[in-house]
Amino acid sequence: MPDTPLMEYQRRRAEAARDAVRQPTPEPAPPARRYAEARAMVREALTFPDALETVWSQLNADAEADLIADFAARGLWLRDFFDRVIGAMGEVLHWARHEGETLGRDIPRTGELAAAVEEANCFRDRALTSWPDPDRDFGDAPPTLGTLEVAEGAAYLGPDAFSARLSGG
Amino acid sequence: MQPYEVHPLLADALARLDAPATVKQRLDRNIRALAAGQLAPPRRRDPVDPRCLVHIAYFAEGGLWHAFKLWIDDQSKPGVWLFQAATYRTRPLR
Repeated sequence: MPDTPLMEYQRRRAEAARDAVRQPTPEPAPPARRYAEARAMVREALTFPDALETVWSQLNADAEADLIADFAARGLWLRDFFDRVIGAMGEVLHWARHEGETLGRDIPRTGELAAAVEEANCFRDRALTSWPDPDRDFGDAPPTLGTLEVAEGAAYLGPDAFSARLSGG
Repeated sequence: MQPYEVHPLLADALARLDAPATVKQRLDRNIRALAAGQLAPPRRRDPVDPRCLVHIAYFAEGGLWHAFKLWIDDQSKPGVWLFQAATYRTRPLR
């Protein structure tokens, strides 16, 4: 299933923030402007946990609506998405702290962003643990319903008879 | 569509299973979609019984994950998937 516009948007804005803080600061850059930019970038990165929640809720809604055909592939996508967004938060934090040291001023809310990174990592671990994983959910457990014995002449049910049996109880 | 048939013991067990009726309906649709080629065919072969392929179906509903591991004999009757056995699991969604 392709990414929805919402997922694509959330991924791109995190990557845009990461790419932005990797750029060299153009000269001349007045200290007041560098301070204002760092403060604004921290404020922006503090909105990224909302992206994690939003996308996670979207995937759960998709699962409830039978819109996810390949849970393993979606799980890999989810891991990559969390890593990119949380990685971007970490890079903005690192950059803002560096800017603060260079400017000799504390950038507001960096402590809050550091806590948000920690919290996002915990959320990521919970979400990925909760996501379907046949190896974890079933392991090498043997079947508990039906049988692996193939009886000669067994009266197997075709699709319609099977549906009727399921719905009829 | 590749024909499929379900072992009567599995059909009876699934009918009696303590799972929401809507989940059983979704399982039914999932099996039909698999046979119709709308889902990727199972890639895993059961190490214990190499005759069998293993199909995993997950459904999110009612705050739970409902998961079925289905064993499919694809050799006893060539060209027909025989659904032989299953294991059912359920756990909180998050």
